[in-house]
Amino acid sequence: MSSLDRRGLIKAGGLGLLALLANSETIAQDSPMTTTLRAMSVITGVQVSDQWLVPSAGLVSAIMDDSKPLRSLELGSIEPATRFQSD
Amino acid sequence: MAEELIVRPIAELAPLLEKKLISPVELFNEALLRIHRLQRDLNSFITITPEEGRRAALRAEKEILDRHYRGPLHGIPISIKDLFATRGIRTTAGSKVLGSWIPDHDATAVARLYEAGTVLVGKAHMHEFAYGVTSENPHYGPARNPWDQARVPGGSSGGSAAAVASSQCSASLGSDTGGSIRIPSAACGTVGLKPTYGRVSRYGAVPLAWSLDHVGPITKSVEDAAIVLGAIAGPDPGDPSASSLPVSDYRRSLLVGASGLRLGIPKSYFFEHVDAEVRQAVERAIRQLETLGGVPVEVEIPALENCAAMDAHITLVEATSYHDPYLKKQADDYGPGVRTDLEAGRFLLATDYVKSQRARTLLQRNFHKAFQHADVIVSPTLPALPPPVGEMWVQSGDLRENVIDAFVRFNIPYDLTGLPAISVPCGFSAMGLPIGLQIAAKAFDEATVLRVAYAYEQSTPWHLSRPTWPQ
Repeated sequence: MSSLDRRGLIKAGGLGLLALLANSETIAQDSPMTTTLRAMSVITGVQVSDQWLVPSAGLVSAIMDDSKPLRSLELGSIEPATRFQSD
Repeated sequence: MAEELIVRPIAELAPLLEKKLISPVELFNEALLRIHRLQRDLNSFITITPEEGRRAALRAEKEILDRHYRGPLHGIPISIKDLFATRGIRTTAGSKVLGSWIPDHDATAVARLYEAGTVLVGKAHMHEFAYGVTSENPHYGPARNPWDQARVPGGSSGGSAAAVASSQCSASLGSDTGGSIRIPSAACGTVGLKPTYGRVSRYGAVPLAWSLDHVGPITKSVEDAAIVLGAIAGPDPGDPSASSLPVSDYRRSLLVGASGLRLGIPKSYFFEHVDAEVRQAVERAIRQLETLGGVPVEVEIPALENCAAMDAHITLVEATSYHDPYLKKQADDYGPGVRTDLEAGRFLLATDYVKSQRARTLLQRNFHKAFQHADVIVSPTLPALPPPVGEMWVQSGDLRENVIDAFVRFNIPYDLTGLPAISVPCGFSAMGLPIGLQIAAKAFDEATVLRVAYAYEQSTPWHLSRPTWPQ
């Protein structure tokens, strides 16, 4: 199952979550992320309930998978976009 | 039975209103009648405003009779996406979170439409907090596509596009963070213009992601888009990102034609994984533009493959930042899809957010280089046709993908770069579903976007087709 497919299932809510939970490989893959997100409450100051932790962890996992090329993108001294010019 | 006036574009109605051949009250009544006929089937509105609309129509009628004609929007029935603040009128942003918020102010774009003399018929349906592409809404039910009520109208401004396509109003004000004006316009067969970031004030719009949010018109025709943009564009002290660059006479620019313009065709990315009928329609549209004097040139835009990840980091983080106070107090009021996004937004890294913002600069540079070889860039607006309500997958040519990833794919490059882009109808599928052609140009060059779109539109019959219902 690709990260994009998982994102679709996660965002689809109830049915998507059932499908997600039926996929043991995905659960195994997401378990470390769920644990990580739970531990991050020390940083975020917010305890996310179990009901939302699993889909949130799935979505974060999918985004992390998608982000690998972005993270390896060489940007040199390029600064963030702050304004848009006519030229 | 004579055809209703309300099916005509603004550019045809305006002279009739100015010459007092028709009345704003007559137009408003036609719009309201359509809304009452279609609301149950299409669900295009969250709030209908018969009293406010009637008062505005009567006021417009009196002003025109008193020879105080304000211009081409005077007396024109419009809808407003329900994330724009409207003084004295409930504004929900498609959510239960805001409750029955009745703002004490108008969004700047709304105020400008009122100043132009428009008549509000209602607040248009939308995806919850503009965070989605289908306008399936757990609180207010799904909005539906007027060409096939079993299908979604796209989103997030789905009610706006459906209302315009089905002539429940003449134009609508939408917002576009990842394609939310252009996606429903392609799906519903309307014209949707996302102007340059900063061209139209965002003040008074409930934000999705501040650095990506754009405000623009959804209309029946390109000329109507030019008229509405002319009314809402310009600087605004309420929005620090609003540009002070002069506003062009967009309507006049339409008449120049497309002859001699270089049509940039980005074969990679924008033409990959595309439904066969969509591809054929867009390729036919490019050939049509060639017959109008356009000169096709292939362009390469590197780094587009990062757009989805950049968009995810920026949108989730900015949205979660805005919603954080609400999440702490009333998280259960959110629908499950948006709640998942917002909860996940807490866990993304600041370094990825900043890297995404830096990558936007790179993307802007890459588009800038492409626009040294082309005056506009042409592509499909969507890679797939609008799916049935409840369906989360679409077939984009050789790729089966979830509807979110499919529908934002060709749209987000222009949100990330802030460049102006329009979706204009370019045909129908065998099932009768509209197909959209996307045309983009350099920053603040809406005039060229509109000019090419108008030349194409006027040489084809697509904008004349209308969805029908039993009388």
